[in-house]
Amino acid sequence: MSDPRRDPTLNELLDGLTVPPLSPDFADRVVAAATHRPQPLPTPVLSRSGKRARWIRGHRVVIGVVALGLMSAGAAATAIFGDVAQTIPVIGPLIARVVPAKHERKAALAAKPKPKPDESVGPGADEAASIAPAPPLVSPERVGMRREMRREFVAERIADRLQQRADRREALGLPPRPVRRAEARAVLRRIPPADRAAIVQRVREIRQERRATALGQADTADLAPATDAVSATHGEPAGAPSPETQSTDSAATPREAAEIQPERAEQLRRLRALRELQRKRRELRRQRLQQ
Amino acid sequence: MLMARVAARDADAFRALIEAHAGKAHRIGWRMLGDAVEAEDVAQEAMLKLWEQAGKWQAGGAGVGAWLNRVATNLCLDRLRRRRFSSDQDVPERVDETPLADAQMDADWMRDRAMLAVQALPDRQRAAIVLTYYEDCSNLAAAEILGLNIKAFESLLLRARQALKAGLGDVRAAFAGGAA
Repeated sequence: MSDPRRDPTLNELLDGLTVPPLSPDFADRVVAAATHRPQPLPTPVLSRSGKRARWIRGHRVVIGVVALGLMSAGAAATAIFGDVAQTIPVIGPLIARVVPAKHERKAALAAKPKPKPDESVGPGADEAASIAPAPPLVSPERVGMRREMRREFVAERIADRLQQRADRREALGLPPRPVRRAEARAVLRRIPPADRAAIVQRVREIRQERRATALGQADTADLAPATDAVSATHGEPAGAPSPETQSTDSAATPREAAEIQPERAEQLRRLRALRELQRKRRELRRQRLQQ
Repeated sequence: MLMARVAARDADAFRALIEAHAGKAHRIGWRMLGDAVEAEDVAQEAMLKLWEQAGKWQAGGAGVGAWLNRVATNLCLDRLRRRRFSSDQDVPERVDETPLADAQMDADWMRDRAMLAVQALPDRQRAAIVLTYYEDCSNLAAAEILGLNIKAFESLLLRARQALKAGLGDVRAAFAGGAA
Protein backbone atom coordinates (compact mmCIF):
# COMPACT_ATOMS: atom_id res chain seq x y z
CA MET A 1 0.00 0.00 0.00
CA SER A 2 3.01 2.30 0.35
CA ASP A 3 5.17 3.66 -2.39
CA PRO A 4 8.72 4.83 -1.63
CA ARG A 5 8.57 7.41 -4.41
CA ARG A 6 5.81 9.23 -2.60
CA ASP A 7 5.97 11.73 0.19
CA PRO A 8 6.20 9.82 3.57
CA THR A 9 3.71 12.20 5.14
CA LEU A 10 1.31 11.54 2.29
CA ASN A 11 1.85 7.83 2.71
CA GLU A 12 1.15 8.15 6.40
CA LEU A 13 -2.04 10.02 5.68
CA LEU A 14 -3.27 7.60 3.04
CA ASP A 15 -2.38 4.58 5.15
CA GLY A 16 -4.52 6.02 7.86
CA LEU A 17 -7.64 5.55 5.77
CA THR A 18 -8.42 2.09 7.07
CA VAL A 19 -11.61 0.32 6.05
CA PRO A 20 -14.00 -1.18 8.59
CA PRO A 21 -14.80 -4.85 8.01
CA LEU A 22 -17.89 -5.97 6.15
CA SER A 23 -20.86 -6.85 8.31
CA PRO A 24 -20.77 -10.55 9.30
CA ASP A 25 -23.98 -11.48 7.53
CA PHE A 26 -23.03 -9.77 4.30
CA ALA A 27 -22.43 -12.99 2.38
CA ASP A 28 -25.71 -14.49 3.58
CA ARG A 29 -27.63 -11.41 2.54
CA VAL A 30 -26.08 -11.33 -0.91
CA VAL A 31 -26.59 -15.04 -1.51
CA ALA A 32 -30.19 -14.76 -0.36
CA ALA A 33 -30.77 -11.78 -2.64
CA ALA A 34 -29.20 -13.59 -5.57
CA THR A 35 -31.08 -16.84 -5.16
CA HIS A 36 -34.43 -15.14 -4.59
CA ARG A 37 -33.96 -12.76 -7.48
CA PRO A 38 -36.25 -13.56 -10.42
CA GLN A 39 -34.51 -15.03 -13.39
CA PRO A 40 -33.85 -12.46 -16.11
CA LEU A 41 -36.00 -12.95 -19.17
CA PRO A 42 -34.25 -14.56 -22.09
CA THR A 43 -33.26 -12.09 -24.75
CA PRO A 44 -35.92 -12.02 -27.42
CA VAL A 45 -34.88 -13.54 -30.71
CA LEU A 46 -35.48 -11.17 -33.55
CA SER A 47 -37.50 -12.65 -36.39
CA ARG A 48 -34.81 -11.91 -38.94
CA SER A 49 -31.80 -13.13 -37.05
CA GLY A 50 -29.82 -16.29 -37.43
CA LYS A 51 -31.04 -18.98 -39.77
CA ARG A 52 -34.10 -17.06 -40.96
CA ALA A 53 -32.01 -14.09 -42.03
CA ARG A 54 -29.65 -16.37 -43.93
CA TRP A 55 -32.62 -18.08 -45.60
CA ILE A 56 -34.10 -14.73 -46.72
CA ARG A 57 -30.73 -13.56 -48.01
CA GLY A 58 -30.30 -16.81 -49.90
CA HIS A 59 -33.73 -16.41 -51.48
CA ARG A 60 -32.87 -12.95 -52.69
CA VAL A 61 -29.57 -14.06 -54.16
CA VAL A 62 -31.24 -16.92 -56.02
CA ILE A 63 -34.01 -14.67 -57.38
CA GLY A 64 -31.42 -12.10 -58.49
CA VAL A 65 -29.27 -14.67 -60.27
CA VAL A 66 -32.26 -16.22 -62.05
CA ALA A 67 -33.55 -12.80 -63.14
CA LEU A 68 -30.13 -11.78 -64.44
CA GLY A 69 -29.78 -15.06 -66.31
CA LEU A 70 -33.18 -14.71 -67.96
CA MET A 71 -32.49 -11.12 -68.96
CA SER A 72 -29.11 -11.90 -70.49
CA ALA A 73 -30.44 -14.97 -72.29
CA GLY A 74 -33.30 -12.93 -73.71
CA ALA A 75 -30.91 -10.20 -74.82
CA ALA A 76 -28.64 -12.72 -76.52
CA ALA A 77 -31.56 -14.41 -78.26
CA THR A 78 -32.88 -11.11 -79.64
CA ALA A 79 -29.38 -10.22 -80.90
CA ILE A 80 -29.16 -7.09 -78.80
CA PHE A 81 -25.43 -7.71 -78.52
CA GLY A 82 -25.07 -7.56 -82.29
CA ASP A 83 -23.77 -10.35 -84.43
CA VAL A 84 -22.75 -12.47 -81.47
CA ALA A 85 -26.30 -13.70 -81.17
CA GLN A 86 -26.38 -17.32 -80.09
CA THR A 87 -29.03 -19.95 -80.37
CA ILE A 88 -30.44 -20.28 -76.89
CA PRO A 89 -32.18 -23.63 -76.45
CA VAL A 90 -35.39 -22.64 -74.66
CA ILE A 91 -35.44 -18.86 -74.61
CA GLY A 92 -34.63 -18.46 -78.31
CA PRO A 93 -37.70 -20.22 -79.75
CA LEU A 94 -39.92 -18.54 -77.19
CA ILE A 95 -38.71 -15.07 -78.13
CA ALA A 96 -38.68 -15.85 -81.85
CA ARG A 97 -42.45 -16.32 -81.72
CA VAL A 98 -42.85 -12.75 -80.52
CA VAL A 99 -39.89 -10.87 -82.00
CA PRO A 100 -38.33 -11.98 -85.30
CA ALA A 101 -34.55 -12.20 -85.42
CA LYS A 102 -32.54 -9.24 -86.60
CA HIS A 103 -31.53 -10.76 -89.96
CA GLU A 104 -35.14 -11.79 -90.55
CA ARG A 105 -36.27 -8.21 -89.92
CA LYS A 106 -33.64 -6.94 -92.35
CA ALA A 107 -34.68 -9.48 -94.94
CA ALA A 108 -38.32 -8.51 -94.53
CA LEU A 109 -37.48 -4.85 -95.01
CA ALA A 110 -35.39 -5.60 -98.08
CA ALA A 111 -38.11 -7.77 -99.58
CA LYS A 112 -40.73 -5.07 -99.14
CA PRO A 113 -41.34 -3.57 -102.64
CA LYS A 114 -40.88 0.15 -102.85
CA PRO A 115 -43.63 2.03 -104.69
CA LYS A 116 -42.52 3.24 -108.06
CA PRO A 117 -44.17 6.45 -109.23
CA ASP A 118 -43.63 5.72 -112.91
CA GLU A 119 -45.57 2.48 -112.75
CA SER A 120 -48.49 4.07 -110.95
CA VAL A 121 -49.05 6.59 -113.70
CA GLY A 122 -48.52 4.06 -116.48
CA PRO A 123 -51.20 3.10 -118.92
CA GLY A 124 -51.86 -0.22 -117.11
CA ALA A 125 -52.37 1.30 -113.68
CA ASP A 126 -55.63 0.68 -111.93
CA GLU A 127 -58.18 3.29 -110.90
CA ALA A 128 -56.76 3.80 -107.43
CA ALA A 129 -53.42 4.81 -108.88
CA SER A 130 -55.07 7.34 -111.15
CA ILE A 131 -55.92 9.58 -108.17
CA ALA A 132 -53.70 12.66 -108.34
CA PRO A 133 -51.22 13.04 -105.42
CA ALA A 134 -51.95 15.81 -102.94
CA PRO A 135 -49.91 18.95 -103.54
CA PRO A 136 -47.12 19.59 -101.03
CA LEU A 137 -47.99 21.92 -98.18
CA VAL A 138 -45.06 24.25 -98.93
CA SER A 139 -44.19 24.86 -102.54
CA PRO A 140 -40.50 24.85 -103.55
CA GLU A 141 -40.89 28.38 -104.85
CA ARG A 142 -42.02 29.58 -101.46
CA VAL A 143 -39.09 27.81 -99.84
CA GLY A 144 -36.76 29.55 -102.24
CA MET A 145 -38.25 32.93 -101.40
CA ARG A 146 -37.92 32.32 -97.72
CA ARG A 147 -34.32 31.31 -98.13
CA GLU A 148 -33.66 34.52 -100.02
CA MET A 149 -35.23 36.52 -97.22
CA ARG A 150 -33.07 34.74 -94.70
CA ARG A 151 -30.01 35.63 -96.75
CA GLU A 152 -31.15 39.22 -96.72
CA PHE A 153 -31.39 39.21 -92.93
CA VAL A 154 -27.96 37.66 -92.58
CA ALA A 155 -26.50 40.19 -94.95
CA GLU A 156 -28.14 43.00 -92.98
CA ARG A 157 -26.66 41.68 -89.76
CA ILE A 158 -23.17 41.40 -91.20
CA ALA A 159 -23.39 44.90 -92.62
CA ASP A 160 -24.55 46.15 -89.21
CA ARG A 161 -21.64 44.52 -87.49
CA LEU A 162 -19.20 46.10 -89.89
CA GLN A 163 -20.88 49.46 -89.45
CA GLN A 164 -20.79 49.17 -85.65
CA ARG A 165 -17.13 48.35 -85.72
CA ALA A 166 -16.39 51.28 -88.00
CA ASP A 167 -18.45 53.56 -85.73
CA ARG A 168 -16.57 52.42 -82.67
CA ARG A 169 -13.26 53.06 -84.32
CA GLU A 170 -14.44 56.45 -85.46
CA ALA A 171 -15.62 57.30 -81.94
CA LEU A 172 -12.24 56.34 -80.60
CA GLY A 173 -10.55 58.51 -83.18
CA LEU A 174 -8.94 55.60 -85.01
CA PRO A 175 -8.64 55.42 -88.80
CA PRO A 176 -11.02 53.04 -90.60
CA ARG A 177 -9.66 49.53 -90.79
CA PRO A 178 -10.05 47.14 -93.67
CA VAL A 179 -11.91 43.93 -92.89
CA ARG A 180 -9.63 41.26 -91.55
CA ARG A 181 -9.44 38.34 -93.88
CA ALA A 182 -9.41 35.74 -91.14
CA GLU A 183 -12.47 37.18 -89.41
CA ALA A 184 -14.42 37.49 -92.63
CA ARG A 185 -13.48 33.96 -93.57
CA ALA A 186 -14.60 32.65 -90.20
CA VAL A 187 -17.95 34.41 -90.44
CA LEU A 188 -18.56 33.27 -93.98
CA ARG A 189 -17.56 29.72 -93.21
CA ARG A 190 -20.48 29.43 -90.84
CA ILE A 191 -22.89 30.28 -93.66
CA PRO A 192 -23.97 27.40 -95.91
CA PRO A 193 -21.96 27.40 -99.14
CA ALA A 194 -25.08 27.67 -101.23
CA ASP A 195 -25.94 31.03 -99.65
CA ARG A 196 -22.45 32.39 -99.27
CA ALA A 197 -21.99 34.16 -102.60
CA ALA A 198 -25.44 35.72 -102.48
CA ILE A 199 -24.90 36.99 -98.93
CA VAL A 200 -21.53 38.50 -99.78
CA GLN A 201 -23.06 40.24 -102.75
CA ARG A 202 -25.91 41.57 -100.65
CA VAL A 203 -23.60 42.83 -97.91
CA ARG A 204 -21.64 44.70 -100.47
CA GLU A 205 -24.75 46.31 -101.86
CA ILE A 206 -26.04 47.34 -98.45
CA ARG A 207 -22.77 48.93 -97.51
CA GLN A 208 -22.62 50.76 -100.76
CA GLU A 209 -26.11 52.09 -100.22
CA ARG A 210 -25.32 53.23 -96.71
CA ARG A 211 -22.13 54.91 -97.68
CA ALA A 212 -23.86 56.62 -100.57
CA THR A 213 -26.54 57.96 -98.28
CA ALA A 214 -24.38 58.80 -95.23
CA LEU A 215 -21.15 60.01 -96.73
CA GLY A 216 -22.05 60.62 -100.32
CA GLN A 217 -19.22 58.49 -101.52
CA ALA A 218 -18.82 54.84 -102.27
CA ASP A 219 -16.03 52.76 -100.95
CA THR A 220 -16.28 49.11 -101.77
CA ALA A 221 -12.69 48.22 -101.25
CA ASP A 222 -12.83 46.86 -97.68
CA LEU A 223 -14.99 43.79 -98.28
CA ALA A 224 -13.31 42.75 -101.49
CA PRO A 225 -10.28 40.98 -100.00
CA ALA A 226 -12.43 38.83 -97.71
CA THR A 227 -14.72 37.90 -100.51
CA ASP A 228 -11.80 37.05 -102.70
CA ALA A 229 -10.25 34.99 -99.94
CA VAL A 230 -13.40 33.00 -99.34
CA SER A 231 -14.02 32.44 -102.98
CA ALA A 232 -10.40 31.40 -103.41
CA THR A 233 -10.80 28.92 -100.55
CA HIS A 234 -14.01 27.37 -101.78
CA GLY A 235 -13.55 27.81 -105.48
CA GLU A 236 -16.69 29.82 -106.04
CA PRO A 237 -17.11 33.13 -107.82
CA ALA A 238 -17.59 35.73 -105.09
CA GLY A 239 -20.08 38.04 -106.59
CA ALA A 240 -22.07 35.60 -108.66
CA PRO A 241 -25.39 34.47 -107.27
CA SER A 242 -25.60 30.83 -106.35
CA PRO A 243 -27.15 28.37 -108.77
CA GLU A 244 -29.82 27.62 -106.21
CA THR A 245 -30.85 31.25 -106.11
CA GLN A 246 -30.96 31.35 -109.85
CA SER A 247 -33.08 28.25 -109.99
CA THR A 248 -35.53 29.53 -107.37
CA ASP A 249 -35.76 32.89 -109.05
CA SER A 250 -36.38 31.32 -112.38
CA ALA A 251 -38.79 28.77 -110.94
CA ALA A 252 -40.98 31.38 -109.17
CA THR A 253 -44.07 32.09 -111.17
CA PRO A 254 -44.98 35.73 -111.75
CA ARG A 255 -48.18 35.34 -109.77
CA GLU A 256 -46.40 34.00 -106.68
CA ALA A 257 -43.65 36.56 -107.01
CA ALA A 258 -46.30 39.24 -107.08
CA GLU A 259 -47.82 37.78 -103.89
CA ILE A 260 -44.59 37.48 -101.97
CA GLN A 261 -42.88 40.66 -103.15
CA PRO A 262 -44.97 43.16 -101.11
CA GLU A 263 -44.66 41.03 -98.00
CA ARG A 264 -40.92 40.82 -98.41
CA ALA A 265 -40.60 44.52 -99.11
CA GLU A 266 -42.63 45.30 -96.00
CA GLN A 267 -40.47 43.07 -93.83
CA LEU A 268 -37.30 44.59 -95.19
CA ARG A 269 -38.65 48.06 -94.63
CA ARG A 270 -39.44 47.23 -91.01
CA LEU A 271 -36.07 45.67 -90.49
CA ARG A 272 -34.26 48.66 -91.89
CA ALA A 273 -36.37 51.04 -89.81
CA LEU A 274 -35.45 49.02 -86.75
CA ARG A 275 -31.76 49.09 -87.61
CA GLU A 276 -31.94 52.82 -88.21
CA LEU A 277 -33.60 53.32 -84.85
CA GLN A 278 -30.91 51.26 -83.15
CA ARG A 279 -28.20 53.23 -84.90
CA LYS A 280 -29.73 56.51 -83.75
CA ARG A 281 -29.93 55.25 -80.21
CA ARG A 282 -26.30 54.25 -80.29
CA GLU A 283 -25.31 57.66 -81.57
CA LEU A 284 -27.36 59.38 -78.88
CA ARG A 285 -25.73 57.20 -76.24
CA ARG A 286 -22.30 57.98 -77.60
CA GLN A 287 -23.04 61.70 -77.60
CA ARG A 288 -24.26 61.47 -74.05
CA LEU A 289 -21.08 59.65 -73.04
CA GLN A 290 -18.92 62.24 -74.77
CA GLN A 291 -20.75 65.06 -72.99
CA MET B 1 -14.22 -23.16 -12.41
CA LEU B 2 -16.05 -21.27 -9.69
CA MET B 3 -17.68 -19.07 -12.30
CA ALA B 4 -18.93 -22.11 -14.16
CA ARG B 5 -20.59 -23.32 -11.01
CA VAL B 6 -22.02 -19.87 -10.35
CA ALA B 7 -23.38 -19.90 -13.90
CA ALA B 8 -25.10 -23.16 -12.96
CA ARG B 9 -26.64 -21.27 -10.03
CA ASP B 10 -24.57 -22.94 -7.33
CA ALA B 11 -25.09 -20.87 -4.16
CA ASP B 12 -22.06 -22.34 -2.40
CA ALA B 13 -19.77 -21.36 -5.21
CA PHE B 14 -21.26 -17.89 -5.14
CA ARG B 15 -20.67 -17.66 -1.43
CA ALA B 16 -17.05 -18.63 -1.98
CA LEU B 17 -16.70 -15.88 -4.57
CA ILE B 18 -18.23 -13.37 -2.16
CA GLU B 19 -15.82 -14.28 0.59
CA ALA B 20 -12.89 -14.02 -1.81
CA HIS B 21 -13.76 -10.81 -3.63
CA ALA B 22 -16.52 -8.83 -1.91
CA GLY B 23 -13.99 -7.19 0.44
CA LYS B 24 -12.29 -5.56 -2.55
CA ALA B 25 -15.55 -4.03 -3.81
CA HIS B 26 -16.38 -2.93 -0.30
CA ARG B 27 -12.99 -1.24 0.18
CA ILE B 28 -13.33 0.64 -3.07
CA GLY B 29 -16.85 1.69 -2.13
CA TRP B 30 -15.87 2.84 1.32
CA ARG B 31 -12.89 4.87 0.18
CA MET B 32 -14.71 6.37 -2.75
CA LEU B 33 -17.98 7.15 -0.99
CA GLY B 34 -16.89 7.53 2.63
CA ASP B 35 -20.00 5.81 3.91
CA ALA B 36 -20.15 2.28 5.31
CA VAL B 37 -23.75 1.61 4.30
CA GLU B 38 -23.25 2.81 0.76
CA ALA B 39 -20.02 0.84 0.54
CA GLU B 40 -21.87 -2.34 1.45
CA ASP B 41 -24.55 -1.48 -1.09
CA VAL B 42 -21.90 -1.10 -3.75
CA ALA B 43 -20.32 -4.42 -2.80
CA GLN B 44 -23.68 -6.17 -2.83
CA GLU B 45 -24.66 -4.68 -6.16
CA ALA B 46 -21.34 -5.68 -7.71
CA MET B 47 -21.68 -9.26 -6.49
CA LEU B 48 -25.24 -9.49 -7.78
CA LYS B 49 -24.09 -8.27 -11.18
CA LEU B 50 -21.51 -11.02 -11.11
CA TRP B 51 -24.27 -13.53 -10.36
CA GLU B 52 -26.34 -12.24 -13.29
CA GLN B 53 -23.47 -12.13 -15.74
CA ALA B 54 -22.05 -15.51 -14.78
CA GLY B 55 -23.75 -17.19 -17.73
CA LYS B 56 -21.92 -14.94 -20.19
CA TRP B 57 -18.59 -15.23 -18.42
CA GLN B 58 -15.67 -16.11 -20.69
CA ALA B 59 -12.61 -17.67 -19.10
CA GLY B 60 -9.17 -16.37 -19.98
CA GLY B 61 -9.91 -12.71 -19.29
CA ALA B 62 -8.50 -10.46 -16.63
CA GLY B 63 -10.23 -12.39 -13.86
CA VAL B 64 -13.00 -11.86 -11.38
CA GLY B 65 -10.97 -9.41 -9.24
CA ALA B 66 -10.30 -7.03 -12.14
CA TRP B 67 -13.91 -7.29 -13.26
CA LEU B 68 -15.13 -6.42 -9.77
CA ASN B 69 -12.69 -3.49 -9.58
CA ARG B 70 -14.21 -2.08 -12.74
CA VAL B 71 -17.81 -2.67 -11.71
CA ALA B 72 -17.34 -1.30 -8.18
CA THR B 73 -15.51 1.81 -9.43
CA ASN B 74 -18.19 2.56 -11.97
CA LEU B 75 -20.95 2.01 -9.41
CA CYS B 76 -19.20 4.45 -7.07
CA LEU B 77 -18.76 7.05 -9.81
CA ASP B 78 -22.46 6.69 -10.65
CA ARG B 79 -23.46 7.19 -7.05
CA LEU B 80 -21.18 10.21 -6.70
CA ARG B 81 -22.67 11.70 -9.84
CA ARG B 82 -26.19 11.13 -8.56
CA ARG B 83 -25.28 12.44 -5.13
CA ARG B 84 -23.93 15.66 -6.65
CA PHE B 85 -27.31 16.36 -8.26
CA SER B 86 -29.54 15.16 -5.45
CA SER B 87 -27.78 16.28 -2.26
CA ASP B 88 -25.37 18.92 -1.06
CA GLN B 89 -24.38 17.13 2.12
CA ASP B 90 -20.82 17.32 3.32
CA VAL B 91 -18.72 14.28 3.93
CA PRO B 92 -20.32 12.47 6.86
CA GLU B 93 -18.46 12.91 10.06
CA ARG B 94 -17.17 9.74 11.53
CA VAL B 95 -18.66 9.04 14.89
CA ASP B 96 -16.17 7.98 17.45
CA GLU B 97 -17.45 4.65 18.71
CA THR B 98 -14.27 3.38 20.23
CA PRO B 99 -12.91 3.58 23.76
CA LEU B 100 -11.03 6.79 24.48
CA ALA B 101 -7.56 5.38 24.20
CA ASP B 102 -4.86 7.76 22.96
CA ALA B 103 -3.70 5.48 20.16
CA GLN B 104 -7.22 4.95 19.02
CA MET B 105 -7.82 8.70 19.12
CA ASP B 106 -4.74 9.33 17.04
CA ALA B 107 -5.76 6.65 14.56
CA ASP B 108 -9.26 8.09 14.31
CA TRP B 109 -7.91 11.58 13.84
CA MET B 110 -5.61 10.39 11.10
CA ARG B 111 -8.42 8.45 9.44
CA ASP B 112 -10.69 11.48 9.53
CA ARG B 113 -7.98 13.64 8.00
CA ALA B 114 -7.30 11.04 5.34
CA MET B 115 -10.98 10.69 4.66
CA LEU B 116 -11.40 14.45 4.34
CA ALA B 117 -8.37 14.70 2.05
CA VAL B 118 -9.52 11.84 -0.18
CA GLN B 119 -13.12 12.97 -0.24
CA ALA B 120 -12.03 16.48 -1.20
CA LEU B 121 -10.60 15.15 -4.44
CA PRO B 122 -12.68 15.21 -7.60
CA ASP B 123 -14.35 11.87 -8.32
CA ARG B 124 -11.99 10.55 -10.96
CA GLN B 125 -8.87 11.69 -9.11
CA ARG B 126 -10.22 9.90 -6.05
CA ALA B 127 -10.80 6.77 -8.08
CA ALA B 128 -7.25 6.98 -9.44
CA ILE B 129 -5.80 7.16 -5.92
CA VAL B 130 -8.04 4.37 -4.58
CA LEU B 131 -7.23 2.02 -7.43
CA THR B 132 -3.50 2.57 -7.65
CA TYR B 133 -2.63 3.17 -4.00
CA TYR B 134 -5.07 1.01 -2.08
CA GLU B 135 -5.94 -1.72 -4.60
CA ASP B 136 -2.45 -1.99 -6.12
CA CYS B 137 -3.73 -1.72 -9.65
CA SER B 138 -1.16 -0.89 -12.29
CA ASN B 139 -1.55 2.43 -14.03
CA LEU B 140 -2.56 0.61 -17.20
CA ALA B 141 -5.25 -1.46 -15.47
CA ALA B 142 -6.60 1.60 -13.63
CA ALA B 143 -6.63 3.57 -16.88
CA GLU B 144 -8.64 0.79 -18.49
CA ILE B 145 -11.10 0.74 -15.62
CA LEU B 146 -11.65 4.49 -15.92
CA GLY B 147 -11.77 4.40 -19.70
CA LEU B 148 -8.72 6.61 -20.18
CA ASN B 149 -5.51 6.24 -22.11
CA ILE B 150 -2.37 5.80 -20.06
CA LYS B 151 -1.09 9.35 -20.55
CA ALA B 152 -4.37 10.89 -19.47
CA PHE B 153 -4.50 8.59 -16.47
CA GLU B 154 -0.95 9.46 -15.38
CA SER B 155 -1.80 13.13 -15.65
CA LEU B 156 -4.92 12.53 -13.56
CA LEU B 157 -2.93 10.65 -10.94
CA LEU B 158 -0.31 13.39 -10.78
CA ARG B 159 -2.95 16.02 -10.21
CA ALA B 160 -4.54 13.88 -7.49
CA ARG B 161 -1.22 13.54 -5.66
CA GLN B 162 -0.53 17.25 -5.94
CA ALA B 163 -3.95 18.05 -4.52
CA LEU B 164 -3.40 15.65 -1.64
CA LYS B 165 0.01 17.14 -0.88
CA ALA B 166 -1.42 20.62 -0.92
CA GLY B 167 -3.85 19.65 1.86
CA LEU B 168 -1.22 18.13 4.11
CA GLY B 169 -0.42 21.26 6.13
CA ASP B 170 -2.11 20.29 9.44
CA VAL B 171 -0.94 16.68 9.12
CA ARG B 172 2.68 17.82 8.83
CA ALA B 173 2.16 20.16 11.76
CA ALA B 174 0.69 17.30 13.79
CA PHE B 175 3.63 15.09 12.96
CA ALA B 176 6.04 17.88 13.80
CA GLY B 177 4.25 18.42 17.14
CA GLY B 178 4.31 14.72 17.89
CA ALA B 179 8.00 14.51 17.13
CA ALA B 180 8.76 17.53 19.33
